[in-house]
Formats: sequence, C-alpha cells, structure tokens
Amino acid sequence: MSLLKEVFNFLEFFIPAKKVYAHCDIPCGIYDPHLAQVSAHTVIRMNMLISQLKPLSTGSKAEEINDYNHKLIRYTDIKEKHSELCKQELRILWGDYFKPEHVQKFPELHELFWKSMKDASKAKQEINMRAAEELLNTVNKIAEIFWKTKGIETNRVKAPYPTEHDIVLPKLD
Amino acid sequence: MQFPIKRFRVEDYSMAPTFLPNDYVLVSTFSYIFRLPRANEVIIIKLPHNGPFIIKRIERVLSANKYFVIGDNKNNSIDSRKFGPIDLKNIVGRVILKIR
Repeated sequence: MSLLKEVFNFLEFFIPAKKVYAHCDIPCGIYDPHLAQVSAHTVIRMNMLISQLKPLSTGSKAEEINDYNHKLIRYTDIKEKHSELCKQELRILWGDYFKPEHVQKFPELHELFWKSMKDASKAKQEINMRAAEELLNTVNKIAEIFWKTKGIETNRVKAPYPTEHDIVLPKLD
Repeated sequence: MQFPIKRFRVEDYSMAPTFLPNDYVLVSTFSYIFRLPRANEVIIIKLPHNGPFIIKRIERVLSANKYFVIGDNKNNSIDSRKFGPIDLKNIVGRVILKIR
C-alpha cells in the first residue's frame, strides 16, 4: 500500500470521502428482499389453495368440473409466476447487491442463493408444499443476511398473511 | 465558493481495470471553468434528481453541452449507452489523480 493511500485511509476516519459509483443499474441503490419474501409466501398460499380444492369424483357435475379446472389453472398459474418472480428478485440481490466482501463475511451466501434457485424451480414444477416452505425459509435467511450487511437488525415474526409462516422484517425507526 | 479539489472513493467495477473499488480519486472542480471537457477524460458526474455520483470516461463530445460517457469495463457498465448523453451541468469535475 502506498504512503498516500495510507494517509487517505487515515483521513477516511475523520472526513469520509464521497462515494462514487462506477457501475450499477442506474445506479439507484434500492434493494430489498421483501419482494422475494412476498413471492415465496404467495407460492405457499397457492399450494394451500390447490390442496383445499374439493376433489372431483365420477359423479361430479359439469359445473363442478369446470370450477375445479378453472381454479386449479388459476392457482397453478400464479404459483408459477411467483416462483419465477422470486427467482428474479433473488438474482438481482445475488448479482447486483451482494459483493465479494459480503461473501467473505457470510460464506454461506452462495450456497443459500443456489439452494433458493433450486427450491423455486421445484416449487414451480410441482405441487409441493415442502419445496415452497423450503424456499421461504431460504429467502428469509437471505433477508437476515441482507439487513445485517446494512447494519440493520431484524425481527422474525409470523407474517400477517393466510400462510401463517415466518417473515423477516427490518427494525426501522 | 466551491473547494477546487474533491476526494472520492470508488465503489464498483465498471471502470476496471483503470479504477477499482476502494481506489481514491482527486477531482478538480475548476478544470472546466476555463475550457470544455474533452474526449478520453475521466470525469465525475452527479446524476440528476439527487442521484449518486458516478465515474465515467468521455467517449465523444457531442456538443458544448452534451457528452457521451462510457465505463472502461464496457461489459459491466451502465452508461450513456443506457441513459443517454449527460449535460455539462452534471459534470462535477475531472479526475486528476488516482490513489490505489
């Protein structure tokens, strides 16, 4: 390290330099795991709704069959869309927000993101509540790390959604 | 009255390998009082609407008021290719020294 760099590093303690960004998508600096969390909750909810559908039988009426098919298609469509939305939001955090220094501090980050991608794909491909719950659990862990990197404490609370699963929220003033 | 030299710290990689994260740069805010910016100069830009400071290289001078800027790491840079030319009024100054 050059002497000048040491002087500047020393100066940084007293008068921090303004940050200048070289790259970034704009750069807007707005990142939040909340959308990924809401998407993961939606995937769980769609699994719940699918499992609550009244099964068809050989004696089912035409309108019951139509109603069943219509609801199943709608729930499946939303489940697929939100699984993909969850992946998209996670990719933004993984690729744009998190930096090598974060991975140094939280070495499990890559593994968590990789797992979340796999969980989301499985939740999309199948009617699989376990995969959906695994996805939410992984996303919540990522959310905890995200807020830690910002020096913000979090609460893990029961979400005010019909899923009744946990959500990690930042403690903001 | 504006201080003639400002100090910035680079955060990201789009100007790599010329500038890397944690490099310091000294910026002359007086450079463009007596002359206009020129192609190939590295400048600090303040994005409008209270946006952040960004560091880019002037690729082309389009007019006295419009400049096409680009990151040295072209595959990993959002610049005038995306947000269009920048105005002279948004240029904070010229980078005159890098400290790594």
